[in-house]
Amino acid sequence: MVMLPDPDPAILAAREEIIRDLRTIIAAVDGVIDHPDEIKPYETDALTAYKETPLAVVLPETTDEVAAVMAYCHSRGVKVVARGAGTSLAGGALPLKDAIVLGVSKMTQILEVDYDNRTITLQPGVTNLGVTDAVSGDRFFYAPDPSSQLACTIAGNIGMNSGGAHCLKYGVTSNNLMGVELVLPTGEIVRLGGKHLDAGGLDLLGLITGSEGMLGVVTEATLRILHSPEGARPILFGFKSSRDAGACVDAIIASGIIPVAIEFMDRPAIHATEKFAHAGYPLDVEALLIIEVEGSRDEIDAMLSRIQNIAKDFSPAYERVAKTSAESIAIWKGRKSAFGAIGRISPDYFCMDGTIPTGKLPEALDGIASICQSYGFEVANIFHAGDGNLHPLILYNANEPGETERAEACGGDILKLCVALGGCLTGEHGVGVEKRDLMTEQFTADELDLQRRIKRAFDPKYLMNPHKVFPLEATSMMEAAE
Amino acid sequence: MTDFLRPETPEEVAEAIKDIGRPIGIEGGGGLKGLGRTVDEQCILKTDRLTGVVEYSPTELFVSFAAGTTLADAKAVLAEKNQRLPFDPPDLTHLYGSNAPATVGGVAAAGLSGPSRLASGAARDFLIGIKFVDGIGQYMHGGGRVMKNVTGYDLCKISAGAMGTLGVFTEVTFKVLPNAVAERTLALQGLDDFAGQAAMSAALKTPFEPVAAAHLPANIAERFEGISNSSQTLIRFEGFPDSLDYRTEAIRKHLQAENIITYDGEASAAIWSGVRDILPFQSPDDRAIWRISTAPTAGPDLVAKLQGLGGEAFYDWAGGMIWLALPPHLEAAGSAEIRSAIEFTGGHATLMRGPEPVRAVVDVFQPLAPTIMKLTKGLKDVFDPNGILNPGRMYADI
Repeated sequence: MVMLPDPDPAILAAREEIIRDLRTIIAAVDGVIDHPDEIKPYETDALTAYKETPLAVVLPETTDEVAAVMAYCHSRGVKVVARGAGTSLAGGALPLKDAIVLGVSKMTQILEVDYDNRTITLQPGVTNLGVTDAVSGDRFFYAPDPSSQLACTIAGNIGMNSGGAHCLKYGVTSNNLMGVELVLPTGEIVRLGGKHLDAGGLDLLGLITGSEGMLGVVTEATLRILHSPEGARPILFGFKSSRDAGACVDAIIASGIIPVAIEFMDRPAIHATEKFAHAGYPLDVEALLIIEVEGSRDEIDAMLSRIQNIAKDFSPAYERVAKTSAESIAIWKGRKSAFGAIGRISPDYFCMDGTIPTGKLPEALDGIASICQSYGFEVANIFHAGDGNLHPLILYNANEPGETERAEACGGDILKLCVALGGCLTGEHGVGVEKRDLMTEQFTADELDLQRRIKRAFDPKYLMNPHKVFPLEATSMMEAAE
Repeated sequence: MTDFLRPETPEEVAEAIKDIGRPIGIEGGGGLKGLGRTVDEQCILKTDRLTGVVEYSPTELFVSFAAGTTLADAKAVLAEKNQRLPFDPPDLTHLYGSNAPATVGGVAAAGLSGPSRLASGAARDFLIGIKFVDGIGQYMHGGGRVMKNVTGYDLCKISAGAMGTLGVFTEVTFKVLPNAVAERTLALQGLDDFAGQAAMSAALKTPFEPVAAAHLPANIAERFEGISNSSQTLIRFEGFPDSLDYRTEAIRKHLQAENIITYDGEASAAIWSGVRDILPFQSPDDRAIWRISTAPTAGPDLVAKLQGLGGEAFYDWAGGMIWLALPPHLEAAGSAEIRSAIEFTGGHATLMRGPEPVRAVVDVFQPLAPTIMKLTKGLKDVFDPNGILNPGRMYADI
């Protein structure tokens, strides 16, 4: 298990005073939560193996309130853990005993929709799907689409630089974020970007995207919105081996076609989801690909037949084109319910999130199989095949003593394999606490030190999410050297 | 006398920086020398001997080059596999009267993106990995070779466009994409700036996915070969031929414009490379050239406000990127008027070319709010604590 730093006894002792002070800053009576029952939902996020009770939860409604809370915490030396909807799979919103949680759940206003400039400006507590909902009546949408899009907030998406199934074509959050209003850890307010493209000075917007709530709190965001395509339909292929599936993806990309999404599932993932979702997936194949293309009806037909022609060379054992939107939904149904399905067949699972160069897929799957076998765990693999983002789901039972720790170690070995194959520890979930101690696999001590010093430039007292992303030992050594 | 260091390996770059002990100018080929504030450089480190493909995997859509590889060589390598740099980097070295070739490291350091930036993304979006030497000679990396990577802070983005003030690139890795199978440009004739911008916004508010949109007033359009003598509102499409037919026809109907000329294939590509490389402003070469990024709909207003300066302008990025050429000998190259006009519209302006004495005293890059300047200085201290890498090139103390 990942260790959390010892809390500061002086801060714990001052809890009542801190809560009192926060109540003078926050106008709403329910804007500061300190009752143990009401704090409970904030003790963990989607990495449920970890829990911690914070000092209090603060739910500001305005930028000024956020700024005042941050300025207070800075001067009082109180740690702050920012939180969107708490859907992080990496423990990004995991609190500390001596920290407050600053939640954006009351900052949910859409401020402006500007179709001529293709932007939407909003408060960061709006959910990912809420953005698209606000503009879908005019046939616009917001492109990044993480699986948790019904619940997760734009604040969290920016913090983790979230992706989704369609980022092969549309990019991840950083490619779709135009500007922010940001409250720094000191309480100062800055504006980065806007309705124009790119930065006037250094690209601070690019730096804070994916900085995991360690450099500031976003209080307003301007996002790029796009007109929806006329239509989108997938084709489903089953292959006798994952090698064939991987080679087929390579051939499609080499031909010059970049589909909107290419999703891969291995045999255990297919079986688990089919049992749960009854999507009509073939059960006698080793690998399944869902490839989606967009355009008019004729454009889609033409593109799908090009893809079918390419796939022929790899002898797909199964092939199904969606001809209607109902058939499209059926094909996606299994994939979209995959995590829920795994949850049905196993008491617990860890969803890993490495990225590998796409050509290394067969090697990665072989390696993952043998790692999991050596730990005695079953594993199901879901893969954004176009961009190399791999989600192995390790099935375990937290009620068996020691199994959580072994499943974590197994996941660690898988991520080390991803790095060794030329990839990285995390493609879209973030480092959080989950992968913090693996950072030395990907970065040298000097590189980690440089990144920590970047944090210092924003957060001189190291108060925001101080227990995340960087191995604790090195962080405390740095503290000692200061 | 300027000393030149021309290391041949990343290790030699690291050694050179470690030992230098004084401010040092950083350049690739040197072709962008005229971009940035005027600085007194007694010593220059060139990366032009770090050349070649380090790794290229077409099916994995990435390529790594040594930083001094020329842009032309890089494009040739990709063209062999029918691929490209999707941000369409311009070669602006001609603006500075230089024969030195643009390098991939220089393109990344200056954060330069072409017309495709509108739909595809910028240099910062496609720079997915860097290897660099920081200001104390540490050889480090950021990002990697995969397009989805949120491991640690995004050092690629903060370094793209930092003008070599944070580190010396030794290797840059880009995400690449296939070349378009075919391209076609619709050119709406004779619209004024406002109507042209409105047409571009209208085209983007459709499902037909234009990949670029530019407006050339008549006086600019006439400098392009083979284009008629009226203003041109250019909307570019890419894809399979059947799809191009469908999309361009649909857009024609949607825009209800009467006077549209179509440019296909090479004719279309030639127009866009002229827009990309700012060829209309190639001569006369004594004018000040500004690059202004603003909200697309604000573009024509901004240009109208600046009319008194007596320059000429054209628009890329659907109106959001203004290229403005001003007559020589204007007070501070028109800086005060431009900065105050931007106050209203939002955005940023860069004096891309200007006389040395002017670039020594005015802000070449967009002036920063005090808090943002404080963060910028903080980051400079992180990467270059002794302040020796390209000091003053971007901002006075950066």
